[in-house]
Amino acid sequence: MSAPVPMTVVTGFLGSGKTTLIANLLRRPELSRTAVIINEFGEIGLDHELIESSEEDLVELSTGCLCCVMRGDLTNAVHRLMEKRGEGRPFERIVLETTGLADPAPIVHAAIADPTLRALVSLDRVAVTVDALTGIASLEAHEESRRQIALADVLLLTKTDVDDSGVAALRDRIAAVNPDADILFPVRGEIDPAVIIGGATASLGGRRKARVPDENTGSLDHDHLDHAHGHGSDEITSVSLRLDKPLQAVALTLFLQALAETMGPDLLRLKGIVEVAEAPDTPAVVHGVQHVFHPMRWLDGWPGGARDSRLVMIGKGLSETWVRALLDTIIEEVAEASGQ
Amino acid sequence: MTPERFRLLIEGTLAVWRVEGSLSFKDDEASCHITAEGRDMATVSREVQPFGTVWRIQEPGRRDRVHPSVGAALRSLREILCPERSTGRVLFVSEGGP
Repeated sequence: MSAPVPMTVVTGFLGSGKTTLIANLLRRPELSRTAVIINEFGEIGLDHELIESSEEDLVELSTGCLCCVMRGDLTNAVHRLMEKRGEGRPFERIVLETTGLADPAPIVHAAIADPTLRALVSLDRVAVTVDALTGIASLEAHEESRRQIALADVLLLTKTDVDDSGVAALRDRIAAVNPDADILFPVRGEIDPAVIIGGATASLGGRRKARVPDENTGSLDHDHLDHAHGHGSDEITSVSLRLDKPLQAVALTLFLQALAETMGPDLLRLKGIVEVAEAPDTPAVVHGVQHVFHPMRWLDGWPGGARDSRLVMIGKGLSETWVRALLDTIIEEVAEASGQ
Repeated sequence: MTPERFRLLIEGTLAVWRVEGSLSFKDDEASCHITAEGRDMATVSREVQPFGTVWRIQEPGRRDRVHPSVGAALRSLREILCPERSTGRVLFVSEGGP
């Protein structure tokens, strides 16, 4: 039986830069033989199309939050990868990207304690991305964010190149939750791959194990009774919209503005690949965290060739019927204003 | 704008704002009267005018507010129903800095 494959868990609150980080790391030669497991919250997967991979060892899990469905899905995903490995597609490492709402504790616990998983993977470290712009607000408002930071071996403060004025306060807040983790500052996802592939693995592992809860005491374990991150409840919900027709650019902008303004801080995350009427062959990638959006990025073509325009929103109190009604109304108003 | 979509829009917006009120929709019209905390709060309607379609927000004792877009209308309605609620403004931040 071959030795367990080292696995790094990358987690972090919604929009904190997990996918950007992994996409950049996978371009580095040191990580060329890496398989990725992506867990997305929402019925329409998107992140896997934003990570360009030369290999097909990219497994998308779309069954909800991994920390809830837990060991079965993780074990199955690892098994699928191992089968590919046996078919001549070797890889030396696994990177697991969780959802932004995941509690990493049960994942870490499973990797260490589950005999099946433990035979396949050895948990290397937990890397947690923290948005320098919204990190404090997330820490204060969301238990998931606190739990992610609490379990980190290494913390990656993202977007400090955009605004670093709040970094000192954020570090203080982080230190109150997890004073031991190393803190690094990737710029647009660029970071030394050693963060992922180790080098100080033993010390990180030792520290992590000290924080991993005992299954019986479970102080950091996943408790669905006192830990609500929604997943379909009236707390945090995910809405996925497929767009049958191209959107005019002005309608897209007005929709983003209306959504951000109406929802305020309850809009946690918005991402999408959108067919814009003015440039239908170069889909626009939309990324927003609360009310802060990146300028739209234009892809050279549609991932996989299929013209599949969609938006995914995560927030409190969201309903698909309302979002659809808002978008359709704006489309109608723009059409009327432009004489169509 | 069908009356059904108008209804979904208003009901959904009040749900997002967690405003618990009574909504009275007019059949076959895009119009809704909102009562909350035991008093009349506002009437929202969408009307076709010679210069285009507008949103009208009527608040008792106040001058009507007329808006050209749903975004502006919802902003106006929020100021009446839940003025203390935080709002958001889209801020596009470039990779090199704000």
